[in-house]
Amino acid sequence: MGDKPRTELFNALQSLYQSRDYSDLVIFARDGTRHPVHRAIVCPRSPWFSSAVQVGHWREGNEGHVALPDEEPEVVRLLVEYLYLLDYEPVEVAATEDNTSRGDSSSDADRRSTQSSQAGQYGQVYGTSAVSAFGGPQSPFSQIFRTRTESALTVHALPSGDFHGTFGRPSTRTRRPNGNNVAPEPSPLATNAPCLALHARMYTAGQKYGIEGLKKLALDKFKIQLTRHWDSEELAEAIHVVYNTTPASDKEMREAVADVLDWHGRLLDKPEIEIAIMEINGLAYELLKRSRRAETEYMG
Amino acid sequence: MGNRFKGLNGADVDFETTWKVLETAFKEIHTKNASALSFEELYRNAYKIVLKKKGEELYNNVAQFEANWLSGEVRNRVVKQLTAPLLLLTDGTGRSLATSAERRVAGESFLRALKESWEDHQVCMGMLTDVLMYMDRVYCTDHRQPSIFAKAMGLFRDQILRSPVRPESPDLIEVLTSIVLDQIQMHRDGERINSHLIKSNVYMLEGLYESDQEVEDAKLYLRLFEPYFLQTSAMFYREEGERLLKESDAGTYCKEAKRRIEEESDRCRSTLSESTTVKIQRVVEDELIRHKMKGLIEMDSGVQYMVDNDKLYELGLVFELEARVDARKTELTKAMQKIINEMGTEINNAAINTSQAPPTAPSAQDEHGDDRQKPGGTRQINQQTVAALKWVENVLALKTRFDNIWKTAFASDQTVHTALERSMGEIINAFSRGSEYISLFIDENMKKGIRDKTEAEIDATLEQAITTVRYLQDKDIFETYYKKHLCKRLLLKKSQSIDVEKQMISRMKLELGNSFTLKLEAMFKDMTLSEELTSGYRKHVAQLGDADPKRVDLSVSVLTSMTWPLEAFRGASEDEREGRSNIIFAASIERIKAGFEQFYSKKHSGRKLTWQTNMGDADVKAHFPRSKNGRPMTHDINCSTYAMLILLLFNSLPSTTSLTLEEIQAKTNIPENDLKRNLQSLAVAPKTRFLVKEPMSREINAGDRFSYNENFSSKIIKIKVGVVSAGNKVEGDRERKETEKKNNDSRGFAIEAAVVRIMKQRKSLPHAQLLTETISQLSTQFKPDVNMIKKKIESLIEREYLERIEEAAVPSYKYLA
Repeated sequence: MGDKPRTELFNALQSLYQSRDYSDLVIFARDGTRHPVHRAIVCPRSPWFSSAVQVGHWREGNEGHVALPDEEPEVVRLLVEYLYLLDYEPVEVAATEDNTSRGDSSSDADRRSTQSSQAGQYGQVYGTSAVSAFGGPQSPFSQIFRTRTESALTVHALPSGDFHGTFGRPSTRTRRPNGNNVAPEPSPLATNAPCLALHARMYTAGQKYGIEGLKKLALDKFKIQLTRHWDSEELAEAIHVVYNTTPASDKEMREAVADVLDWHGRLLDKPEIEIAIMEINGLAYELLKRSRRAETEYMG
Repeated sequence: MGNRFKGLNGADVDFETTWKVLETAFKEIHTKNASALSFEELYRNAYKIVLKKKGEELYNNVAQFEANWLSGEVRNRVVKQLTAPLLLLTDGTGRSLATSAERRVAGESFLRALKESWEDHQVCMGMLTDVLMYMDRVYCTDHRQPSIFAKAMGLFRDQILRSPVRPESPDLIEVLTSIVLDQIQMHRDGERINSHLIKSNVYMLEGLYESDQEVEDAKLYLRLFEPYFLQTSAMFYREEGERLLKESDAGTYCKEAKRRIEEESDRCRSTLSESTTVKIQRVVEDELIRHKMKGLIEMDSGVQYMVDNDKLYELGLVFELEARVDARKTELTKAMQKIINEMGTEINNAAINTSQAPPTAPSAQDEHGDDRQKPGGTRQINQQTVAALKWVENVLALKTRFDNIWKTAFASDQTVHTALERSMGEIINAFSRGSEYISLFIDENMKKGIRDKTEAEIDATLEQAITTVRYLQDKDIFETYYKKHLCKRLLLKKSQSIDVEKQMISRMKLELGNSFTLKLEAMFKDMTLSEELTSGYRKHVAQLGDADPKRVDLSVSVLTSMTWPLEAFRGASEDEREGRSNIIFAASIERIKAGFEQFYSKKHSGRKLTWQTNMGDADVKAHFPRSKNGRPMTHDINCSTYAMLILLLFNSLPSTTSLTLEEIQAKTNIPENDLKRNLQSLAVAPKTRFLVKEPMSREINAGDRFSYNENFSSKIIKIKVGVVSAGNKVEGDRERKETEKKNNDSRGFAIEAAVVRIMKQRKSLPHAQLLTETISQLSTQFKPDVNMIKKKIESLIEREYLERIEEAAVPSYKYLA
């Protein structure tokens, strides 16, 4: 009952997102896709947009157009989606291509029920239900929408510090003291399509446009996808995105990548990974450090 | 795939080209031409440079760009406004070269130019900060550099404010400071200035710091402006204060100082910074008040003048002024105390002079020319009483006056009150006859003063009396006098209202405590009991039945001997005391006396009545054959008991027979002095000359003869025979000494009692502590003399109440049970 007014607000945001009524700003992606949005929604969330449309300063503000010629259309779409709905969901390309993945999805569901404890281990962070609700290809988008927004909100409202202790977020920090270089089980929340590069780009967008929540969400989605899709061809691209579009001081994505390479040693045999490691000095150094640390632990 | 990643790798980002784009845009921004620029494009370019790890180069380029812009474009624009009228301001040689109007206009142009440059700089840097947001977030944070905005503010400080106007000349900020100070001086001189413009420049100085560390107390305003402002203000007010002291009166000075302080606070609010308010107030207070207060008070038109002329408003201003700088108002308090002291001393001296003045000439001639033989005659005593009343009234007037000043002008301030009260106490106690005079004042009011007054007025009078009593240190002396005066009022029925008397007692009880009024209350009790006794006795006589029409009626006051100061009546005739009890009464009187004694001893067996014959009075009917125009007449005579006894002697004698003084004394046994005084009333005083004296003279001498005055004549039926020295008068010197001696004796008892009380409780005590405790215990009654306490301790040791503790480190005593 207490959630009712909140639900009301989120429903309103959802309908604003769908209808785009009263919009007073248009965002253009690289391919010219138009995204009519509301300054009142967008600007308070992002200092970048707030600066861009400040009255009397720039062309963007005067014309009411913000062009993002460097951003991929999907990134822009998901960015806007996030600003309204506190979550984003990539279009499942893989699902339409492949019939076997439909079968997979039912086994996904089985796994979800049998391994609920593991779901707890990874999922809770940014909404187990956020991902799962969104993820089921059969699930009609709009029907479950409310569940999704509510749970997403619940998670966001919690102080982030709590997650580490309570839910055992899949982070190197919690695992390393055991000295086990054991990869986590594939998360039941992971979707069929890898989307690794996309989540990395979403993280970068969060960084670029100054949206902290988006960064966290993208990071978690990225890690969840990695548990299942570490072997994907997309990994190399994702590595490049992470190392080239985030500052070196921003460690979390970099550590997620290094963890995966650490856990799955055979990835190093893949040619595209080899190229990536050779090209990116920072990554090679990070891996070197880890191997040394593991050695000391073993010896000790 | 390799190609696909190239874009991300940033290999296509060429720093120089990208920087050119940014630089061009920044110029547009600084020339207010940004509305066509794309924020996204600029941000993207800066973003890519930072991603390429060229943040440092970008940061330095931006800083350099800003430095160039400021030193080139902006500085020139500002310096151009330093026109001729302003040029000599900083070298100290002269303001006189330009009129203040010229300087004001020129100064405002300069201030406006600087203000606009500063505001432009902030707006532009705001926009640059937006574009360079990513650089600030990544490069500046990771490398602990100040944000580009802070950096650019520092550049403004260095390139504009802290760079010389031209080579070898002062920095621009010094010019700015002197222009602002010049304008403030104009404002102080009454000209209008553009406060808003100055305030904008102050904002600037408050937003800039001495170094890029931005330490709070290193604001330019605090370091480079405020000290000069305070310094020049101090100089200005020092001179202004001295000028005012010379040229105006104290009242004006106060108003001016107050106005200036308020003006400076207002100026901080409207023109400078509120953070300066307290400091500039302090400066003005120092220069106009703290350092000048003494001079102000001592001006011809200063506090003395204000008090003399009841300038309450001005006194209030002085108070308000000093209250700002000194919670204790030391100077003003000191001055007021001095004034009270002088006025009080004047009152005291006047009282002494009046009481000591020789009798005035007309009174000397008045009565038969033989006044010289009677020093301290009635006239002079009256004069002393007048002096006493006058003294109390003057003291009260003084008190009222300063109370009024205190309430009206000094905001009922507690500290000042305490000081003024102390001074009042000092002058009252400095007057040795204070206790006696105050008691006499009450006496006078009880007898006459309150006759026609309303209840409220009576109340006010009582309150006034109590007010003066409150100040008295030696309340025991006051008690002695009060008892004496009250005694006479009660016995001689001089009091206007017993109710008012009782009110007075209850006020004293409130003010001085129970023990003080105990004996006074006992006197009233005796009076009440005596009335009951008298009426009881009358009933008793009536029941006896023998209604002898010639029987003498009697009313008696039975006084408890310890309670009543009967010596008040005895006057100087102490040595004749024992003679009194042997007074020979006429038979008719003796019978009544015996009757009453019998009646009384039945009621209270074992009590001894001592008849105070010197205090009684009697109503006598007397026949004179030729009183009413040669026809007989009966008069009602009221006279003292002694006079009655004397008159009764002549009842049994033929009218022509005379008695000598010695014979009368032998027949009555009246003490000689009393006898002489009564005979004087009966045979000398013209209106009550019932006896004829031979020879006719004013003095009663041995061998004088007295006989019934057949020729007495008077139109008045009721005649009162004056009783000499019946009223309450100021004491003569001898009486005074006696009172003092008695008082010292009773103080001695009080001290001994106190010492014993203390020692009994504490068992042993060092000497010094015993002294302090004794003094504090007795302080409600009087201020004990330390030597007297020492003597009393000695005496207690002799009588083995106390014992010295020999081995004690400090002199100490032990109580011996």
